[in-house]
Amino acid sequence: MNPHFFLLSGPVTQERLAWIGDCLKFYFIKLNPENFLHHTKTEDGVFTFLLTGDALYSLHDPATVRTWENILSLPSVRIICDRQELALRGISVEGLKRKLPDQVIDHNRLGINGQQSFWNDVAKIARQHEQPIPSTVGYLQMDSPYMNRSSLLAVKCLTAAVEAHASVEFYAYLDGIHCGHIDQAPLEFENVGRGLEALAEKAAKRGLQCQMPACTRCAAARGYSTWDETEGEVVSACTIRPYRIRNLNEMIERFGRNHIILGENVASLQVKKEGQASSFSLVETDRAPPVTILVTRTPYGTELAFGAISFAVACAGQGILTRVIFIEDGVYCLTGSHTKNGDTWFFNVQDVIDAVAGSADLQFYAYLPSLERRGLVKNPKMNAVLDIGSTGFGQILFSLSKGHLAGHQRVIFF
Amino acid sequence: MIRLRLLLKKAPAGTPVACFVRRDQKDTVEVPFSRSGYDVAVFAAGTNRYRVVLTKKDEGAGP
Repeated sequence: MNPHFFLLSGPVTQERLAWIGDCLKFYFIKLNPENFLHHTKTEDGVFTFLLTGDALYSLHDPATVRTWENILSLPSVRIICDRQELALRGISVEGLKRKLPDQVIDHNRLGINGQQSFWNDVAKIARQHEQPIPSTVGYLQMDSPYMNRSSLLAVKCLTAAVEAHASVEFYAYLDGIHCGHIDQAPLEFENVGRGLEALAEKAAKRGLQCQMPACTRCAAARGYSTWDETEGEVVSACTIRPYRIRNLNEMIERFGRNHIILGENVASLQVKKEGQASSFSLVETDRAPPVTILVTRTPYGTELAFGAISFAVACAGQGILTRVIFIEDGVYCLTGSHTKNGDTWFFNVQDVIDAVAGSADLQFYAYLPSLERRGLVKNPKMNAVLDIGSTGFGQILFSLSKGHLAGHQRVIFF
Repeated sequence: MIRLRLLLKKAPAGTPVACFVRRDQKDTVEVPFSRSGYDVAVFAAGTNRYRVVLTKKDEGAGP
C-alpha cells in the first residue's frame, strides 16, 4: 500500500523540493509524530516519489541532492527512478544509492512483455488504491507533443496501465489537445498520435475502456472544433478517432470519481480516515477526491495560470472541493495591480480571480514563502486570496474538513 | 463561464444578465450558478440554442 505518492516529470527546483520537504515534515511532526519518533518502516514506504524526465536532474545537482537527503531522512520515504530516462540523460544515482540503498530505487518492474519499465511501477501504485476491479487510471495532458517529452510519457504510462488491466482515460487540456491531431509524422521521435490510437486498440482488445475527452474551449482556440448543429456536439475533422471534444465539465465529471489521475507533475495524497468503509460507489460528491491546484507559473507567459483557474472553477462547479494555491512563480498572479487597456473583451488574471472568488467549493491561497523568496507582497485588493505558510499548506494537503469522505486528494501542478 | 462571472460581477445588484448558450454550455451555467446564489431561468431559443437569464438572489431576504 502506498498512501502517498508524487509523480514528477518536469524540472524539480530547490524551491520546489524545499516546500515539499516542509509539507512532509508537517505530516510527520504534527500529524504522525509516532512515525517520526519510532521511524516506522513499511516495505513500500509512506511517501513514494516517482521521478522521470527532467525531474531526474534533481538527483544530480548538488544543491537539490542535499535537499533530497533531508527528505529521505524522514521515515519511510523512497524514490523510484525511471532507469531508461536516467540512462538517456547519463545521470548516475550511485552516490545517493550508496548512502540510502533501501530508499533510492533505480531498477524498474518487469511488465508482461518481459521488459523493465518505470511505468510498470507507476501503474502498480496507481492500481493499488481502493477501487473496483477493473480499475481506471487517468492522465491529464497539458503539453503538446514533440516540443515536450511529457506527451510520450503519457502514452507509456497509460499503455502500462492497460497492461496492468486498468481502463484508461486521457484528458487533453490546453496544448495537450495537439497530441490527438491526425496524420502526425515525426521522423525523429515516436509518434504520439499513433501511440494514442494503439492505446485505444490495445484497451479494446482486452475488454477495457479507453476514453480521450478533449476540452472544447482549448480545442476551439487551436482550430480543432466545428459545431454540429444537428447532433448538438462539437466535432472535428482533424483529430484521431478516439478523441472526443467535449465541454470541460464532461471531463471534470470524471474527476468526481475516485480513480487515480496522473499527469506530468502530480501527487496523490491519502486522506482516508479511521473507520471509513472500505468500498464505496464511484460517484458521490462528498466522496469526490478534493483537487488542489498549484499555480507555479507566471500569469501571462503561458496559458497555464489561466488554464489552472478555469479548471478549478469547473471542478468547483461540479461540487468538488477545490483549492488553488499560488506558489513559486505563480505568486506573480497576485502582485501589483494588473490592468488591461480600455474596454477590451479580454481580461486579466486578477479580474478572473476576483470574479470567481466566493464560489462554492472554491478557495484561493497565496503561499507566503514564495512571495518572501522573491521580495514580493500580495496586492492588498486580492483579499479573496488567503495567505498561508508551510503549516497551512500541510493542513490543506493532509487534513480534510469534517464531512468529506474522499479516500485521497489530487494535487495537480500547473 | 468565467466571462459570465465577470459580467455578473460588473452588473448592478438585482440586474439580470442574459446570454445565449448552446446545449453543451447550458448545463455548465445552470447547475453551478444555481448552487452559488443566482436565480437561473433558461428558455429554449432554437435548435441547440438557449436564452439564460441570471439574477443574483437578495442575500438579505428572509425565507
